[in-house]
Amino acid sequence: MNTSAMPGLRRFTLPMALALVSAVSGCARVPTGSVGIVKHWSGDIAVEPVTGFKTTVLDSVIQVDTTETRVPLNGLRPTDANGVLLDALDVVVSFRLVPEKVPAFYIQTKELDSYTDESGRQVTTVGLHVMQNIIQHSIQEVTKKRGDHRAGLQPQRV
Amino acid sequence: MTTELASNLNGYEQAILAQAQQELDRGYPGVFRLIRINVNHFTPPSAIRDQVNAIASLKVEAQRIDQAQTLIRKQSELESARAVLEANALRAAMDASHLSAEQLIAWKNARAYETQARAIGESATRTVDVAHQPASK
Repeated sequence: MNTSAMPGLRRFTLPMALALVSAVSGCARVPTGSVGIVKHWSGDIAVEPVTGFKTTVLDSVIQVDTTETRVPLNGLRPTDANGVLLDALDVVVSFRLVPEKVPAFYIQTKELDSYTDESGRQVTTVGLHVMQNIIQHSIQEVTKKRGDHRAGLQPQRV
Repeated sequence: MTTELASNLNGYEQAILAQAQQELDRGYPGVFRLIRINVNHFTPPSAIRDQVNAIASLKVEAQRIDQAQTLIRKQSELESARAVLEANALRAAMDASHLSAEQLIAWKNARAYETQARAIGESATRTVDVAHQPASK
């Protein structure tokens, strides 16, 4: 065996290995107010969220904003106990996500929402559609109990 | 319904908040923490608006009637108080004068007529009829 070629091989192998490792690995920086959902190369999604600086090998990290989010819902038309429509009901819902539960929610729904906030910042979060659906349903549920004497609520005056 | 909402908007918001948090926890336990819900605007249907305005007018009318009834009641109470006062005075006068109630009332009426006649006499204006005056010398 020609050992004189070994130093040259070593000279090429080490940078190539480093280049390969760097190609399949990366790092993620998850800022305060966000959590990271780790998607493994195998397809699994980690149940535990990551925060801060995270080195990944063959994995990817989805950053999800968990700060207070305001969702406007305009033009709702719930009906009361007598079937009377309430026109153009506008509400604003403020909520925040519990960081520890975000990966599990993502696994359950695979819902990922991106929007641009008032300052023009692109934000990724989860659960906006779920929130909108449930709020609409809740408003209808609460409104239909209004004006119903049998429910023991305020007597209807109109 | 709409007047109920407008008068208790905070209660409506709290009820929606509680209902929504309950539904969220049922479907996705512990994921969402609702902070607040604000109802910014709502428009009742035009038929309801008309009804609300009509009811407001009726309320104003009902208040006016209540005030008139209160006034009548107070006037009646005042008349009763006056009657009691006069009856007590008559009773005292009967005891003091040993006259009957009829005699006292007749005497009181006679005094009233006399006072009235005197007032008329004093206020009468005499007009001089120039045409029938004797010729001046």
